[in-house]
Amino acid sequence: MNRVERILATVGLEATDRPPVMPVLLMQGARALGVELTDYFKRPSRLAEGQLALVERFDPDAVFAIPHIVQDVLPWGSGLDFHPDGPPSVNGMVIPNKEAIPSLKAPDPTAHAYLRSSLRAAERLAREVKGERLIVGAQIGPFSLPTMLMGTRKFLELLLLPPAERRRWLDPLMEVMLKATTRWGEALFNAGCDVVVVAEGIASAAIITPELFSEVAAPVIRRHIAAMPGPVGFEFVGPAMPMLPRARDLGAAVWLLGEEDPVDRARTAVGRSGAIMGTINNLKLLRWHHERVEFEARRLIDLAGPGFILSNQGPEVPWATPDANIEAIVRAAHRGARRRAA
Amino acid sequence: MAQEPSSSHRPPLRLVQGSASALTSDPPIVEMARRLHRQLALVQDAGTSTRALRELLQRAAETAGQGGFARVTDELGNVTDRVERQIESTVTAIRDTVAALDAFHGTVEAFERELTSLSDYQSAIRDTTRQVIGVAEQIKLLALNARIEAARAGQHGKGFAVVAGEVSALARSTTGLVEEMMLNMDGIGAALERTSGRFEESRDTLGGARQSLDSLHEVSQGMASNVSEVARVTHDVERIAYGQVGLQEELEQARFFARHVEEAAGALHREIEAATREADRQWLAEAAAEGRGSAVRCLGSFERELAAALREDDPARADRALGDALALTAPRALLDRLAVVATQVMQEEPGAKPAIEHFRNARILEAAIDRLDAAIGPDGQAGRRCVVLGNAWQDYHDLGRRIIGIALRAAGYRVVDLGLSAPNEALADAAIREGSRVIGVSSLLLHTARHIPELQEELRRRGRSDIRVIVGGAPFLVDPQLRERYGADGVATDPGGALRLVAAIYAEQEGSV
Repeated sequence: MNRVERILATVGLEATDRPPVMPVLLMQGARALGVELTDYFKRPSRLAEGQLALVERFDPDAVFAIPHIVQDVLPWGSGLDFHPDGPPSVNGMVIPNKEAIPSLKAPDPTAHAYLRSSLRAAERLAREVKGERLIVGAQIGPFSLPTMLMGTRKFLELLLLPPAERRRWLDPLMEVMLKATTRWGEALFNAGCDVVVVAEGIASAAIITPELFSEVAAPVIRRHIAAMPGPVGFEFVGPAMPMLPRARDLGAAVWLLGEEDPVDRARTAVGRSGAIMGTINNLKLLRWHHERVEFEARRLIDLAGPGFILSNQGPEVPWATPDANIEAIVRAAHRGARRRAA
Repeated sequence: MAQEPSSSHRPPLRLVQGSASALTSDPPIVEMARRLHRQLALVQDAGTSTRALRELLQRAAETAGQGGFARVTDELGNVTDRVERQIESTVTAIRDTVAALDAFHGTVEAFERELTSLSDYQSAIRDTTRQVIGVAEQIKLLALNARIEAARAGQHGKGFAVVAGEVSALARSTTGLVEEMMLNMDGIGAALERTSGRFEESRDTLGGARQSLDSLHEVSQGMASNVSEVARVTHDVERIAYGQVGLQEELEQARFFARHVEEAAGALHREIEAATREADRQWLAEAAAEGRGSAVRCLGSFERELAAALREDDPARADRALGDALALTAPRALLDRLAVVATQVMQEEPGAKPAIEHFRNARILEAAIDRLDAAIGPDGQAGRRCVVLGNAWQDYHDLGRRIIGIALRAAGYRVVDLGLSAPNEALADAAIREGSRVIGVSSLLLHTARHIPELQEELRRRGRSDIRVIVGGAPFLVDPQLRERYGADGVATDPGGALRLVAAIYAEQEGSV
């Protein structure tokens, strides 16, 4: 059973010799290459090189074919601020108000130079490790992307409009978002990604109620997943548990959990709909001793049972995380192999 | 002790629970004072108990934090794993050896069977050889008879005699050869017997070895079974240790919240002290005034309607209630009642509401405050306590900051909001200029939250370490210990928490003047 077969078996909820392990290592590529993070992110051409260096360094089961998820706003005309110790952030909103929605046009993400460079890096990763390690793409989902383009407050105001008024603005907005995000998802698969993670932070229980999720978020998410030409991992980028019973039939193959989601209960909540992935606390990775990290990872493996992919919580392992703690996560999964064999 | 409030700076009764019913039922001032004093005593008790609880939790968290139990099970698990692997290797080796012995034993038995066959062949050859000797003897006899008959034949039998002599010599030679063959066959028979004896010994030896290995296999299986049992017990213990880790996290959380409860209890104590004095003064003044009853009933109705509008997300109902109340009552009094209701509603189910629920409340409150502030005018807002807010440098996530800002305004504070990506210098400038005792910094991202210690340093550099820095945002929720690492004075996890924190800071600072 090689790494990819193991992951496929896990997604199929079959027994495996050990759980797959894929800490979300994005920024660490810069460190592995010994370059400044800002330089690494300004030129995504080095992404493949960085990910391959991470494979050498940590031996994870997956590589990530995006430099950072915020790149998704670039085709819309947004700008990014680059930081020496964290992912880029959006430096302004391009949709000034809801009245601008009718004139919105879905951009072609592949026409943007930065994203084209990302795709080329993904293609190189596919040439190097396809079939040996899972190639994971990621994108901001259609329901959450508007918050990066118009601000969270304005988007929530739309959600709180009376239903008829809300549909007037939200429906055309979602159509444009669906078109753009589906195009980008297709491009990621065409570049060689085996799976694309769709991040929908605004659909999490930290932001909206379960009722609102079912009413406005779930239909959009369902359409987006159905339109994707490959398997989708779904990430709430926050607490998932209250939404999972309402989300399990949306068509995702893997559910990425928040750190506060209990993996055993989440496993039960998603049922046979797919695997679960998570959930080592990102910030505690910064200060925990590596033995504690390994212990926590083993605890999660033990709690979750089959159909579990060991990882950190979303969105990614922080920049300053000690290498020993990343190694501890991988080690815990390998140790799981010995236990299962016994 | 709390400072006596001046007439221009009347603290709102935001922390006095049940004030609406007190107003509508017009309780005698004696009863009101009695209730406030009872609350004061209860809060004092709660403060003492919470302090004791926090100390207990701290000790428990420190003990759990040493993680000895977890480490022992970890080590035990490692040792068990090693022993398991060693026993597994031993059992495998024994199995291989037994298999090899069995194969060898089979070979020996095959050899024995071949030896028996050889012995049978040897006997058959011996019998055949004896028959050959018999034939040779008969030939010799025939040769003798031939020679006798040749002698009788005289000169004519001479040639025949020569042939008979040769035949006789051949028969003798054959007999000699056969006898030599018989001797060799005897040698082979003896060798076969000796070999057979040795194989017998080997078979006995192999049987003994097999028995020993079988015993060893049984012992190893017993050991493996015992070690598996140890592993199972270790696994059970490990599960308990996992629980202990969870408990440690819970204790850390509990300690964190206990500290805030303690702070809140202190603030509440001071607020009720001030409220008791203020209530006495206010009620005495209002009792002397004409038409008190209708104004008081109006305030009660406003509180009920506003609370319902907030809970049911009905901005129109809130707007109506405010319009009706403004027709009968002074806007300043309504602002005080709004503070009571906002505090109550925003502190319901702390931490359990999604952001959109807080946002709904905030929108209603913001509209009401804007309307009241316009009615009061800028002069009427001058005496309010001030809070400076802003997102951390390069942080562009404004929802949390805006909600907290509205909650603070609703609770009667004057909010100076510097907006997104506020430089530390600007935050410090604004706090000093506006006389704020608190700066609230919101940060959604870890790498923007790292600017918070630099703000503390900026305040120290300006000699204003008395200005407190409170923080909010996802990193502080995901890791409660981050507050201590960044040296912040408090974390607001929701609007209610922010109100408690700011109230506690102002109460402490004003109490220490």
